Formats: sequence, C-alpha cells, structure tokens
Amino acid sequence: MIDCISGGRLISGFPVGSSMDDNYACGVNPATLREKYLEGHDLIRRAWSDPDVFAWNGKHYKMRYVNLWPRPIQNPPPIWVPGGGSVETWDFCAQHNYNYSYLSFSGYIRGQQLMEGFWRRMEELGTEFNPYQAAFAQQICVAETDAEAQRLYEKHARYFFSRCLHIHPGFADAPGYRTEATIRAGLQTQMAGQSSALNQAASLSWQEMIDKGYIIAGSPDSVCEQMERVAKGLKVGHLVCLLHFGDMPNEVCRYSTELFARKVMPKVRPIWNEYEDHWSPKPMPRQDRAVPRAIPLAETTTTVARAG
Amino acid sequence: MEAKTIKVGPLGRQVHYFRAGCGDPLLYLHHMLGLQGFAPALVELSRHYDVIAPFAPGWGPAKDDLPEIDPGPLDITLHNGDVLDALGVESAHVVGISIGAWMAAELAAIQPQRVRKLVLVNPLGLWLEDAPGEDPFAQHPGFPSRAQFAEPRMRERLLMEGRDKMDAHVEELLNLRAAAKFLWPIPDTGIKRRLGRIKAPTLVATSELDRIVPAAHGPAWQAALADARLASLPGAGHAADLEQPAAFAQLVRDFLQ
Repeated sequence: MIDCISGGRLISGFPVGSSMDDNYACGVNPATLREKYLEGHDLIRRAWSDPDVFAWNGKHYKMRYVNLWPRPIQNPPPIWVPGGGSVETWDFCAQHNYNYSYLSFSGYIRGQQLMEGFWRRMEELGTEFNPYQAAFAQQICVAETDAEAQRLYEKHARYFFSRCLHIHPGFADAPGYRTEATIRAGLQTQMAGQSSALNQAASLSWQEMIDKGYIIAGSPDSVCEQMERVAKGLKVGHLVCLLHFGDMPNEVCRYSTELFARKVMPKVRPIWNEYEDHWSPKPMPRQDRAVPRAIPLAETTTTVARAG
Repeated sequence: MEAKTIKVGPLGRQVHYFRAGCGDPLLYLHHMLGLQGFAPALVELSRHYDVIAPFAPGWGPAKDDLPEIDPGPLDITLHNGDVLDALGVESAHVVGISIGAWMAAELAAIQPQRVRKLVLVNPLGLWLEDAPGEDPFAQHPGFPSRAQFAEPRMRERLLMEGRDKMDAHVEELLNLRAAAKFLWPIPDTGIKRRLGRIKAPTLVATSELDRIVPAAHGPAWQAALADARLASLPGAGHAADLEQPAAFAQLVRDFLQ
C-alpha cells in the first residue's frame, strides 16, 4: 500500500527486532524467533512475486489463501536489513543481495567493529564490493557555527543519551535471541552493547561525543567533514540521517534540517559516485505518481502548533 | 562417565544419556540447565536404582534437535516413551525437576502405565497469579542462570569451573533457549487440565529458596493430583539436585522405598 501511494518509493525494512520489544514486550518466543523471521521473509517474497492466489502451510504462518492486493509498484521493493550484529544476518544479506543497515546510537567505534565484520564476511562470500549495500544511521545536527551547534543541540543530545535509551539488562538478550555463532563471535546484542556504550556517552563532553562518533554536529563544513569520515571509514553508501533526537523542539529540528538540506546534502551526495546504487527504490516516473495536495507553509505551521 | 547414545522412535532420533546402577529403573528428567554429567545426586541414586538420565531434545549434545520438537506436551511425551522403549524399560519410577518435572507429569498423565512412582521437584507448568516466581529468562545476559541457585555463586562453581568459559556460557544460553521454547513467555503448559489423569503415587517437593518456582506451587500441584504427598528441601534453590545432591537423593529415596 505504501509503495502504491508513494509511486514506488518504499524501502522495505526487515529487522529481526530487538529482544526487549519482540521477546519481552510482545511475547515472541526467542527460541523460534529466527526461524519465524525467515519464514515470514519467504512468505512476503512469495506474496510479492506470485501473481496467483496461493496457500502457505508454514510452521509459524498458516494461510489457506494468500491474495496480495494492492500489489507493490516495485518488483520487489528493495529490502534493507537493519542488523544489530549477528553473523547470520550478514550471510542472509549476501545470499539475497540485501542492504545491511547498522542502526546504532553507540558511536563510531562499535559501528566500525560491526561494519568491518560485515565487509570481511562479504569478501569471504565472494560478494562484489559496493558501498551502497550498507547503510549507517547517525544522529546529525547542523548550525551556522560549531559554537551555535553546541548551544542549540547539546541539551537535547544529553537528554537522549542519558534518558531515552535505558535498557534493563534482563531484557537485553533473551536466551536464543543470539545464535551460537554470534555468541562465539563475541558480539553482544546491539542493546547490551548500548547499555555499556551509553553509560559512557552520558559522561562525555560535547566535543568527545562528536569525536567518538555518537553524534555528528557543527557548522555545515564540520558536518560534511564528519559525514565523510563516517561514510569512507565504514564504507557505507547510505547514511540514514536522524535529524531529530531527544526532546528537540519542532522549530529547532526544522532549523537544523533546513541547513542540512541546503548546505550539507549536496556536498556529501557524490562521495561514492563511482559506484552504482542498486538498493534505492526505483519509483514510477514522476509524472505518473499521485501528487499530494500542496499545503501552504503557513497552514502546516498552524497544524503543527495545534497538534503540538 | 561418558554419555552413551541410542536411536529412539520411528524417526531414529539420537539420544544422549547416562545409565548406571542396579535396582528398579529410575528415569531422571533434568532441569533447565540440562545435565552436568552423571552428577553427584545421580551417583547417589544409582546406589539403589538403575538410573537413566537422558538429555531432552534441545539440551546439551541434542541442541540441534530443538526445531523438530513441538513445544506442546505430545511430542516430548512420545519422545520420553520412545526412550524407555529403546532401553527396554516397560515402566520406571520417574523423577523430574523444574521443566523435567513438567515432562515427567505429562508422561504420567498421557502414558500412565509407564510410571510407577512419580517425583516432581520444583515443578514448572502451573501459573499462579499470586506466586508467579521470578522470570528465569529475564536475567542479566552475562550470568543468566544465577537465578537457578539459592547461592548465586553456585553458577560459577557448578557450571563454569574447570571448563572453557565460552563453551560453558554457550551451553548455558542454549539450554535456557531450549527451556524457553516450552515455557515462553509464561510457564503455563496446560498440564493443569491433565493432572487428574495421573494415577502414580506422587511426591511434590519444593525448595525453600527457589526464586523461580515459589513454595506456594507445592500445594497447588498436590491439590490437582489424586495421590500426592508434599515435601520441602530446606536451603536449596531451583536446581536443587545440583546444589544439594545428598538431600535431593535422600528425599527421592525416602519416597520410593
């Protein structure tokens, strides 16, 4: 449905899910989590590709009539797999040629450990290197100067790191959530890793938070420089930009976002120009897409003010 | 003692098990942590009984069998019947602890002719709103089975000492994973509806310091059983046979004699 409404611009995220959400909050059994995930993946791929009605007699999903409607515009929509660092996920991405996305709040160093593991595994499996097969999520904020960035955004970053990400250790890693290979590879879950990394983040100075890659912040030039370091250092072609974090108010977020769009985005886009991006959506021609009603800026602002 | 192997059932599933001693056959069904070899409690029991202690599918060397086993009562009960068949044992005393006590109760309910006397120690499988017990699967990932013991350091002493640290920790997590398959997210296995079918004289024992199965579960099991006595293991935690092997063996023997 989203692919239809957007004219074929859906990126389909296939996360296994975090232990505290899936296992503890939603009651999904960790012993069968991965086989259920893989079966769900197979079911969705079949539903996207099979033009006929079919029966699915799986172990976790049983459906006498699978009849997908509306069908997606893209065939199929690109699949991105947000991974927290389990080795099977790397193989899964290699096998299906999916994008591996590392979604992390725990800084550049852990990101580097993960992405290096990912690229090493891709090489072992004989996959041709293309930076667009990887994505990295990063919190970014832009101001006119470095000093203004600290003044505007530090308090919201602190709010985020010291308040928004607390995870009870007992809910970080249900038995079975990590596979044996992942345990043996010494990879903690993203969340367990975060618990300790976060304690660190909360006690860092603003400059240290930037230097250690917990956050990208500063003037447009500083932000470009930091983004280039991340993109080249981790060899990622896609950066998922988290432009809002913590208790940042609407107008502050808009200010940062606009500066990002005007002064940063055009400069960082061409970093990996020599590679072809096979993992972005392939939408319909613009003239064929549905067009949303134009909303004057004044009206948006009022709507936001009323809602907020 | 090395574990032996035998093929059981129509699928020829390989079972790793220990067997020693002489006397009446005694089937021991282990707790969430699997088997730590032919542990002292089993050695003690083997002085009086022909003790058979198999790894359940999913635990220890049978870790890869987990996907084939349905989490309901039928697969595991048929499997345990297959184990007795393969070993040429018509009927046995059945002693189960923790999740093994649930499996023992299912065997006694579904195949009553196989079970002479039944011992259920710290049995999981009933859910009591007023005494839910601690969640064995919501523990610190660094030492997830500490909650199984009255004295948390027993985890290091009984499961880790003298072993490769990574191997022991992986085994610990995989054993808990196997238990989770049957008990997630609430350890209510539906056994309550079948307890009335059990004919074997039964001993229900609870450990005084069990954080996972509070002592209040003892009377709840007893009330649902036709012929059950209650006992208590003072000072022990959930994995009582590991922590207090002598008291555990004595309790079992006193009842079976």
